[in-house]
Amino acid sequence: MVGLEFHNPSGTILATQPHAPRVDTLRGKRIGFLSIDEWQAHRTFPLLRKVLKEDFPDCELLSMDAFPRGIAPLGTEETAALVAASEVDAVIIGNAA
Amino acid sequence: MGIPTVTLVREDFLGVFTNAIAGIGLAAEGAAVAFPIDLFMADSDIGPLASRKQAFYDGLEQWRPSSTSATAGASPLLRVEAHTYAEALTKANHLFMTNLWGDGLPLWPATREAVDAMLRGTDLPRQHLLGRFPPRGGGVTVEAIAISLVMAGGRPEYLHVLLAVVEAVLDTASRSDLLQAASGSAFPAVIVNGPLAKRIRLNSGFGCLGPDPQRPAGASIGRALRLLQQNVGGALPGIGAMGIFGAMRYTNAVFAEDEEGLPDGWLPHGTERHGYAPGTDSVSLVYVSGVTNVKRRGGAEVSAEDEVLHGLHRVADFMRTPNLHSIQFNAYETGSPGIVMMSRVTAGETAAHGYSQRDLRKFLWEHSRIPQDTLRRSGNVEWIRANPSSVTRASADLDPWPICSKPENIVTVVAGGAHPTNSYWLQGYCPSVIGRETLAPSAIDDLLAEADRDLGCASDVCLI
Repeated sequence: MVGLEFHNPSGTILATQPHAPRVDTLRGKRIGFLSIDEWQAHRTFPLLRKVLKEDFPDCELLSMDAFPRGIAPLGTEETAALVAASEVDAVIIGNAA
Repeated sequence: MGIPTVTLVREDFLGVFTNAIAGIGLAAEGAAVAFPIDLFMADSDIGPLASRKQAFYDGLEQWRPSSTSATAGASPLLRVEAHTYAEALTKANHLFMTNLWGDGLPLWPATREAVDAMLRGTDLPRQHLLGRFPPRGGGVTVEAIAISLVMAGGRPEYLHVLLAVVEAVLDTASRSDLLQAASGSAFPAVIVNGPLAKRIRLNSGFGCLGPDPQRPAGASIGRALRLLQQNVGGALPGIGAMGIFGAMRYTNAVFAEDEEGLPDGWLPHGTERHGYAPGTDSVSLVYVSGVTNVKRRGGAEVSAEDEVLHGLHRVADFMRTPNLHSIQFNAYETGSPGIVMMSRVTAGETAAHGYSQRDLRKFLWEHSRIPQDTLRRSGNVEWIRANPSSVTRASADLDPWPICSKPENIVTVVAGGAHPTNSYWLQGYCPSVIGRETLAPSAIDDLLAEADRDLGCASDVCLI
């Protein structure tokens, strides 16, 4: 038999930070929204905000303009800093399409 | 940051989504609510969104990652066994395909010996980490790059060029994280400058974007880059890379500028664009989305002066298209609308009629402007007005509208066969043109001598 040994080419994925813990409940929480402003985001976010407000009337929904909108700013350090400074408890992101 | 998120995502986009999560250092999974593409189309029924509202709430209240492992996807050695070497090679290729590491063409298994030999092409340590390859964020070491170059059929004297290209791809200004995943099928075009380009057999002449057995370096450097994009960066078609058509992705486009063919007074691209001293070995990364041939030569009985003018107008006419990719990710302000490639003959004619490189770009910029009625009828003005860049938004009412904020954004390069009939236009999808100097290994002379032994003499007198 001939044996052929070779390297796996997929590199190494390093998880350097844990996922954020979830909130115990959305009741009374402050919720932010990050929109890429495409793929019907102008319709889906208003609907999500409406059902959230109906189901959790005491939660605080930040304006859609609280954070920069669009694909380019979504993943930037600047936007992350703004989200952190806003003291939101949770964020809904969309539309990844 | 410690703030929980849930993402509204298209079902087919879940691979892109998890790549993006891994790219920021989290385990490759996340809270998401997925829908088919129908929901995201104009005039769609978004009712299903409300009926699945609980999934959004669960994403923020209940979701837990399935793994708390600090690391995943380590790179062990793989082994196949067979009766003959040829059978083992076939088995290895089957393994590449079933693990989604292939491109459909035969690959060379990266054995320890082959990788060790490839690493002679750099003085950097094999475990030196260049960064995380976007969008998935796979760790990309010198060794990982050498592995891809072995698999792509490359040679050690190419490695320092590939290392510089990967550095350019990892530069966040390139927006490789977005372009690898986006639907517009962006692919890297790499312009190589400096004397080593010719010595390692990079093509700058006839067929420089295609296969050439005498000058094969570009094919395997570009193929190795593509393998890295896919295998380490996660850009797997339809899962992590949503390029709808995906042209040029077997080998990308890696070629040398024809520096010997530059007219007097014209500078190499690396010098003009990036400020490197002439004679510096360097690479320049420009993401593009297509390649178009432009017949630029004049008809019978046209004067040389008119031929130059007609040819420039014809190139500008191809550039005069509302290419919305050239405004994305700040590309209008800082990137490039594309690359104009012209042969040494065309460049010589153009220079002989008084055009400097700056004049050339100014001409193309001015004559590729798009009338406002053309922009408006195709709905482009709305995209321009919605752009995050104030410079781009401010251009919306210009009539005619320039395809980029300034002539300098247009990349011009002298390459291709010594013939006057055609030029090439590579339409840009390029937020930023990224340059890097290449660092040849101390063993480069030995490696080039070995290449002469293996492939035959590479000097001008030997090649066809």
